[in-house]
Amino acid sequence: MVNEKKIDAVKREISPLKLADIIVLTALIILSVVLLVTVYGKTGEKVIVTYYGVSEEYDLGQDREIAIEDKLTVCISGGAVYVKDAQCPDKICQNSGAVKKVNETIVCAPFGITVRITDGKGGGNKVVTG
Amino acid sequence: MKKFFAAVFAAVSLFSCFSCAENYEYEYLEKDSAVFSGAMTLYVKLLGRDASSAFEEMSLTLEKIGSEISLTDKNSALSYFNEKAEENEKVKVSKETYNLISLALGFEKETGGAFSIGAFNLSELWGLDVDGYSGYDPFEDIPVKGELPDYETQVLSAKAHCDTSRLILTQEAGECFIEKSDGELKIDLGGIAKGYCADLCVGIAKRHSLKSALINISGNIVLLGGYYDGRKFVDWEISVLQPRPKAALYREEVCAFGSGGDISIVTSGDYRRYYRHESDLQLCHIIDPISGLPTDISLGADGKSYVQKPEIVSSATVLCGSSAAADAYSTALCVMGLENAARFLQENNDVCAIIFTERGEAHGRMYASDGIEFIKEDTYGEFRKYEKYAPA
Ligand SMILES: [Zn+2]
Repeated sequence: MVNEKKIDAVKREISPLKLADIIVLTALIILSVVLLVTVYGKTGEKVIVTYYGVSEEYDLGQDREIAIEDKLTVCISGGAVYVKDAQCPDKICQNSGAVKKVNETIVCAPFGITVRITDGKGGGNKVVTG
Repeated sequence: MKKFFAAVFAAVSLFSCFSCAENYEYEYLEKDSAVFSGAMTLYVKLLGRDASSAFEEMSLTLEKIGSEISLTDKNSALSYFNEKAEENEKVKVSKETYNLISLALGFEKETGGAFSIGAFNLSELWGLDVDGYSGYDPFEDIPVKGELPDYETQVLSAKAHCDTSRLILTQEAGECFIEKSDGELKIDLGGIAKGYCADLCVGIAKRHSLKSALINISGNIVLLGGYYDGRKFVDWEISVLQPRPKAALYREEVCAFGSGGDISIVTSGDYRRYYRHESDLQLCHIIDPISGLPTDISLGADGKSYVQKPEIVSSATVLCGSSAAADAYSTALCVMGLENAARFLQENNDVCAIIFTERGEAHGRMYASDGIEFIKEDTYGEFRKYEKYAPA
């Protein structure tokens, strides 16, 4: 009997959201969205091209063309990277345009080639097998 | 107060001295080259003052061995031995090739015949010969082949000429020779040559006093020392790719493990090269020297027809001190099947492995030996779909 009364009292205290609570909550949500956008949307530093278990890292700041056998030509230009020329049947990689943000990737599925942007911090210790 | 600052200053200078000891002014030299007209690829990451001369020496060594053991090049010593040499004719080979062959014969014994360099007649018969078979072309559907060899008249007679005890190694006046007491015997070093070359490259790296190295010869990986991140040495992070793409369009990493270095990593699997027969049988490029058949099929109950095995090892990643051993063991584990492979690993503690199997198009089982330290198990949610295998 006593316990039930206590629970009732607790419920009454918590349930109605006060205006102040809503303001604080909204502010928190906006803050986290802003944080997410700034962290994930950060411009990358390095380009990692992986092909047949071999990963190679390139500077995103240095314009160059990377020929992967006679299969793909990957082009780094003005801080962005795109597939300039592809011999694959679907050309999805070529049509997927340029990427420049951290964790963005271009994939050429038929050739098993991936192009990934990283923040350039670490990652040099990564090795792929299989 | 002064004493306090002095103490702090002393501590800081002492600390920076310790970090100095590991501070290299140089960075990793990253290079790659296609060796022996693209038959092998060499990719390195080398840390040390002598990095570029070490790389030069590695390329030259690979070129030399590649030209001797290639089976595509009809003028190589090994092609001559296979195609033209007569019974008991001595064929001169380099010291390196001689050592490579004797190593390979040792691995055949250790694996109970699951790894053998003598099965080339069978590879040719099944149309899976390593160099000649162009393999799975991403432009095309899986190639379909017609007639399969008849078991009794063709497979068994080819298998009769796969006995490596008919291979004789001799040395005379510092020169090395190989000969065969069975004129039909053909050998193929493709299953161990890349690993052996990687071991030679490690020797070169050590002779040039490199502080850290990653050497990747067509997927045979050797890590020498830890990875230097610019301030200190850290562990390498090795990701294993899923044998065949399932959820994604391409092969995503299925798990990852850490290593402090001084280790070789080699993955073999049935996924890289395979073809489909008209009857819808799938045949991979790995031959089981004991059954005489590609590892993913077995002989039917009638003793004539072939049936797909319900479960096959689709990928075996081996970690051990020698790359030649890792190369040979990874093939052998695929041939053995999961249960026997796990038993082999429990008996050989210096060899670690991660094995995945497949049941048709479905995920099969997974086994990892005790020494593997997983750091990422399920990046893409595929790892947990493999049933964990625990040997009794
Ligand atoms: Zn493509």
